[in-house]
This record gives sequence, structure tokens and C-alpha cells, in this order.
Amino acid sequence: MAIIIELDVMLAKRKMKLNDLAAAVNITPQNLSVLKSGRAKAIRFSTLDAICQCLQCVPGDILTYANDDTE
Amino acid sequence: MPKNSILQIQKISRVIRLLILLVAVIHIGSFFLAAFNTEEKSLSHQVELKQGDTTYSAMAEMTGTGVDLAMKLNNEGLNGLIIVGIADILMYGFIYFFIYQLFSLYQQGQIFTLANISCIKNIGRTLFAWFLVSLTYPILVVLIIRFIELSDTLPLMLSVTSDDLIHLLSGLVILVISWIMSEAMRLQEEQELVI
Repeated sequence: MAIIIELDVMLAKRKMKLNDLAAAVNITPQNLSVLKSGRAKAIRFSTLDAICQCLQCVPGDILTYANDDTE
Repeated sequence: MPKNSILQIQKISRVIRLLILLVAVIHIGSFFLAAFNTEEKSLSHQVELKQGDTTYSAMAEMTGTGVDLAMKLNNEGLNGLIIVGIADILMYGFIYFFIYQLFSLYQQGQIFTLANISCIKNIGRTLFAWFLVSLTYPILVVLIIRFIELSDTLPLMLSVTSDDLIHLLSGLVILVISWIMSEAMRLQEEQELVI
């Protein structure tokens, strides 16, 4: 998929563990792991808002776009 | 799905499962008991078992497409109730089995699973097959009886009764419901991947 999840990068930058983030945004570590690994189909605005608030970042820091076409 | 609803489904499914078992045993049991325990050759057999002061009564009565054929078989000295009724009993058996299986899964809390959908599909297919069996079975019985020369006066009959049409319609409706359930399962899987 062209949307890339950079959650692990942001977690590394903030020196934060996945479990701590999961507890802070009130979702299960399993669900956060699904999001981190790129298996999620969608992300709720409320989840994105909570993650951005916790990691002090903007949605663009977590979600990036890469063109799939190889020219 | 709210936890209360699942608990309610599980609770009611347990009752329904027991009821299905009871109805199936009474229905199928009374058919065989009545069909094999009578001297009289009629389309309505009743058997009474006395145990002390209690009397247990079982009755099997033929209705639907096969009645004409069963009457003619009786006139030929054969047991029309067994020969014609066995197809219906077999279909009822399948339906009871699949419904029992479905409610067992509901009792375990499995609502949108492949196993459930497969049960619903099987119920629909059985009802649809029942319609086809009702159409072809009497013809097949007459052909076999003619072939083994038990009788050559039995006419070939093709009839469709309202019962058969209800089976066809119910089968189709249940098949559509199973497709809707497949779609629901896909949506649930997708929903689980929304974070």
C-alpha cells in the first residue's frame, strides 16, 4: 500500500515503548501492533488525535505517502 | 456486539438446542416407531406404549406430494408410509442436524464465523434439495418398483404442492441470508482492523 505507517520511527524518536503508548491512548497493545505493522485497514480520527497528542507530533509524522509506481 | 446480547444469544440458544433435540427425537422416532410397528397399511399410523399408568403415543401421518403415491403403494400391498415417507424424514433429519449445529455454535458465542455461515448455507441447500427430491423421488420410486417388477400398475406422477413451494422459497431465502452473513463476517473482519 502507498500509505506507510511511521509509528515505530516516532516511538524511537520519543524513546517510548509500544505498551506505554497503548496505555496512554487507551487502546490494546495488539491493536497498536496491528497499526504499527501496517495491517490496519483504517485509523479513527480519535485514535490519531490521541497518538499525536501523546507523541507531540502531527498526523504527517505517523502517516506518509510513497508512490507505488516504479518508473 | 454488546456482551449482553451475546449472553442472551447463548442463553436462548441452549434452550433452542434442547428443544430441537426433543422435537427431532419425537418426530423421527415416532415415524420409525409407527412405521415399523403396525400391521395396518394406512397413511396415518399410531402406536401406543403403556408403562404402568402412563401411556406414550406416537403418530406418523403422511402429508404433501407423496400422499397419492403412498396410497397407491398401500393398495399394492407395500408400506407406502415407509417408502415415500423416508425421503421426507431424511430431509427433516438433515434440517434438525444443521439447526442443532448452528445453535451449538451460537451457544459457544460464535456469531459471525465461517462454521455458522456454512450451517446456514447447508440448511438452505437442504430445503432447496427437498424441493427437487419431492419432484423426482416419487418418479424414481415408481421406476424402481416397475424395474424390480413389484407392480406394473403404478402411474408415473409429477406433482408440486404448496409445501414444496414453501421449501423452495425458504431454501432460497435462507441461501440469501447466508450470503448476507458472509458479507457481515467480512465487515466484522474489516472492523477488527480499524484502529
